[in-house]
Amino acid sequence: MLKINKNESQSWHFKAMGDHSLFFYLDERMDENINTEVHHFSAFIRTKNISAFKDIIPSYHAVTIVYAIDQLYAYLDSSKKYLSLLHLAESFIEEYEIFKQQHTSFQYEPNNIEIPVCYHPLFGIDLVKIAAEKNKDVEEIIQIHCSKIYRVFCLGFKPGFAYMGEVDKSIQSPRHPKPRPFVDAGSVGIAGSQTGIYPSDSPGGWQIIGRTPLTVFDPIHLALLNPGDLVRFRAITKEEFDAIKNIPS
Amino acid sequence: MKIQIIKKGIADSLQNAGNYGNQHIGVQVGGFMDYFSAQLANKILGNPLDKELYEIHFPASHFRFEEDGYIAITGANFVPVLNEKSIPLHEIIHVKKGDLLQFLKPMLGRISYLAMTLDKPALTLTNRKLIEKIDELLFTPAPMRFIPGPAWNDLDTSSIQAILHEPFQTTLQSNRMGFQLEGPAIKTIVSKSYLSAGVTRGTMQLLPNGQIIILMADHQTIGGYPNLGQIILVDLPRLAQMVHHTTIHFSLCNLSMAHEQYQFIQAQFTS
Repeated sequence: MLKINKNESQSWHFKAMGDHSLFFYLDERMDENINTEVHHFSAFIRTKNISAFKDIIPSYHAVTIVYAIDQLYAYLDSSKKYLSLLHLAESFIEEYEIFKQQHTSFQYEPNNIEIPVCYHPLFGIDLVKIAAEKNKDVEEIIQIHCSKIYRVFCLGFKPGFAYMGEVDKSIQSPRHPKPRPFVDAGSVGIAGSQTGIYPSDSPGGWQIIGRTPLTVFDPIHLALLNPGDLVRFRAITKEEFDAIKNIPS
Repeated sequence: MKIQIIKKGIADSLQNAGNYGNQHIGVQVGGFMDYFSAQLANKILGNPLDKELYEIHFPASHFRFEEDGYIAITGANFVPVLNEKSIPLHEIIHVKKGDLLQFLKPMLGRISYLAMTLDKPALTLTNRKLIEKIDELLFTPAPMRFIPGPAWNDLDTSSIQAILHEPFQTTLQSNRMGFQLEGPAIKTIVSKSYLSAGVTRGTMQLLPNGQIIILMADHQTIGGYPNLGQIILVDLPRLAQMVHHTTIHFSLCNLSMAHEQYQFIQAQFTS
């Protein structure tokens, strides 16, 4: 009754997910505040630098830690701080809460990234259809898509595929009921309240509204976008698109 | 060791123990499907257990060795022949430049492993016991043990009973990404929408058609289907070796037993 400021959706819980991962989670909602908390917590765990943790995977409302069993027990033995895996997980939440109270700024600092997008109908193959459905000009749809700063909630589906939100209600459009067998790399799409970029040629069901000339993922430089990044799209012409594509990197 | 593929098989690939560290940007881990057999092949040759080797499906590639060396084949028995003469599994085989390795027939299992080295390996007796143990773990029918996942409590009672007591079957929809099963239709109590979150090898996802898929080595990093549970690591190689229409039963397992079993078996590889 006294904790009137306590937002219940922002208190962490955890479950052992199978025998080699830990699942930390908040209230299951697609929400920017919840997702910000995910990136703070994820950054907090990363700074612990525990080599037994093979992957730390943030998503909309959760952080999944994948661990190596042998290395984890070696860590528990050497740390002398945690009695068991479950004790370690509980302690992480407690340590994080204390950290939050003692610090005003967190480790997680989002990158601000601008992405040039050519909305030419050659690339934005669903743009005209969406404009008709929404009773708007194509120009208006583009302007609305470019007017917001989107948060990278998480990555998945393919290497480098960032799920971003939230798209303005006035241009939200559901996935195609049947995915296209082929979508070009760099295609920018909308699916419901989310927007994203196909990092490589692949099948895909999102509504395609444009294409970026940037490389979104390659095995050496990895992903253009990281979890938690803040993204703004900038409309470019077909000529600018070609010019950027032709500059050798 | 240099080797040439002179005729490409259906789905052969070079695999290691998996590339971790980039799942947060959507990069799949991959790696050995049956890590028991892969580690065993490497151990027989005295290689590091996680050394890259060939993972072979049937119909298999035809391999020609381009230098002298030693090989070991483990996992599925596809009747390997060297220059058309039968060679045994689980043994150090000396090969010479120009030798031809083929696999004739799928007798048992789904994936075979081919490890190689240039250096003559030392014969070790301890391997015999380990070979028998692994063979038993892979090919003796036993329940698939799992630890319930985040969506387990969202299942209706009859679905829980079905998973715990009824048989499921592997299907042709099985590959390095996942094994789709066929069995009684499974339902959640409420049609709640789930947010995508990190998944692992062994995750049992409930597909919209009421069937279960078990994620394998090349699974996507996050998934939005209801996460019913995770098959424990020591039971996944057995699943990886199942051909289609193999019957599966599930049984519940707890975390400490899963860890104990995993460490017990891994200790035998490293001893």
